[in-house]
Amino acid sequence: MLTGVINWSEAHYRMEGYEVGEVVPTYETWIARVHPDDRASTEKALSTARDKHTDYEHGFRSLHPDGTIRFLYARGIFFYDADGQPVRMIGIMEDVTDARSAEERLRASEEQFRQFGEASSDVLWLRDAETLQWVYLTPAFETIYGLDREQATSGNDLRNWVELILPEDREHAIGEIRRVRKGERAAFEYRVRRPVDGQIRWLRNTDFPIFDADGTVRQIGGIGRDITDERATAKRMEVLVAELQHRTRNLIAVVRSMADKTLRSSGDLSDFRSRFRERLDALARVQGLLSRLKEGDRVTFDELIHTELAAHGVTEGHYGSTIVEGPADVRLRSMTVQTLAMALHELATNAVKYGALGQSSGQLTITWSLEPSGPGNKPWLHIDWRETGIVMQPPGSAPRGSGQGRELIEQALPYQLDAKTSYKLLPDGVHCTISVPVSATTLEGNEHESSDPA
Amino acid sequence: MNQATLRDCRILVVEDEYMLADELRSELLDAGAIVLGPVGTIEDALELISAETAMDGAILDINLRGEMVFPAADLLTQRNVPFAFATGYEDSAIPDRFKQITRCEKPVDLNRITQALRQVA
Repeated sequence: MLTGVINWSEAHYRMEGYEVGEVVPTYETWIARVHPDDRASTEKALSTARDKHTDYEHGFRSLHPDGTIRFLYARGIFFYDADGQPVRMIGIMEDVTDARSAEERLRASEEQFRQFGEASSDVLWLRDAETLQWVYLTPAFETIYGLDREQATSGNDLRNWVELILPEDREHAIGEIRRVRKGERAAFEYRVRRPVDGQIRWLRNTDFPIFDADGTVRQIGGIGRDITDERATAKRMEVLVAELQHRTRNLIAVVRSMADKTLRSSGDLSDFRSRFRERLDALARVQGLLSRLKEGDRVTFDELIHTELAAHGVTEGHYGSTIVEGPADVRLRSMTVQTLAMALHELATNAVKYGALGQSSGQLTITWSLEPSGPGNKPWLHIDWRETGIVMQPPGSAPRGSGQGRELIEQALPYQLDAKTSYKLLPDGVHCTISVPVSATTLEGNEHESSDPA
Repeated sequence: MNQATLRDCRILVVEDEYMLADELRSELLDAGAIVLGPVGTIEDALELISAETAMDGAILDINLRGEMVFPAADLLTQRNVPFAFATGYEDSAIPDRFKQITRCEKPVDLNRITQALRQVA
């Protein structure tokens, strides 16, 4: 250090980005290649070791002219004279770039996985296979189990966990953990009671062993998912499918009986064909109205009557002399819609064939009103269907139509819907009244009502 | 199948859909049976079963205006009256205690119901 002579090995030249022999090794040529950001700390480490007579040991970046950065690690010792003045130093420098980037990659990958863990709505955890204590537990634990992690991991945390599980599910859950500890994978379901609100949640755990190089189970990994909503949805679907089955079967049975009835009252096949088609179409229209409903929604009477009249060529806005009057938004109970629609269909069909919609002198007046509190303290809908100006067939002639409309009104509506009805053939046309209990949600807007139609 | 096997039998029909109830009734009448009902609500069914002293069999729809017919089925069991279910539901919708009861899928076949009632009678 007195002479300023420095010797570099060939490797040293290369570590600092010099060709061997390219420069004369000096303190200046050395410090020139230390990354500017690391220079101050490097020089300080060096002077500290020198002044305090300690070993020099320091890592820094070396910046080469082509922009390459190498991570170097230097170690050295100073030699002093009798007065304690430094006279000489020897050192070695090691290129640790590869080791260092491997470590950084590992750290980055660990950080990524940690972020996955933090973000997961499933709870991820690791247990030591020996002590069965948690060594890793993600924040989703708190959301799902309703207990903060600090509390959950204080003391024996396996016991803490077991105590959250409903007593009847505990044995099974512990048994599965034991299996994983022996090296098997396990998937199992259990219920926990959340301390924060007492709610019971269903969990599905997928647990797996993590092995050492020598094949012993070192840790147990687990993924816990809250399947409470999933289970509820599955159950709802089951109910819906059963309902759909029930309704479809019923509908097919209704179609079969409709076919039989129509056949019995038909003169020939083409007569059957046109009548049966009309009735099927009417049924299809009702299914259309019902299937468009959202949950809690109801078909309204004005919707039903307008749909049925439109199917018979009487479209809204082009009623001519036909009068259709009553309050909008009278909500029908879903179970009543189909039968009521079929009755209206028969009335309309007969009106086209024999009555007010088929004779120019005829006048059809349909009015309805809502009685908020009728019999049984239920809201009732009163429908009045009156045809006038009709030339009626003389008494004793063939009956009008098949009588199916009349049967629907006089028999089916009272039987199925608790309706009160009347059907009279007056000298100038049909007069029919139908009174039927309607959805209580008409008035309250939220009263529960079974939506089963059959 | 000989439909005359139901001749003069007193058969209860519980079905809330008028068209189906009416169809069953006329088929039973054609088979020579005496039809009790039809009734379309669980209340009417319970009332009729309680009041009737002579009943040879019953056909029960499972869903009556959204209510399950099972209380009526229990009452029939108590009274040793054979019955069959007529339904669109799958077996899973039926409680275990009725697993032995014949379930006829809709649309029902009267012959099958007749067989079912004859077997247990």
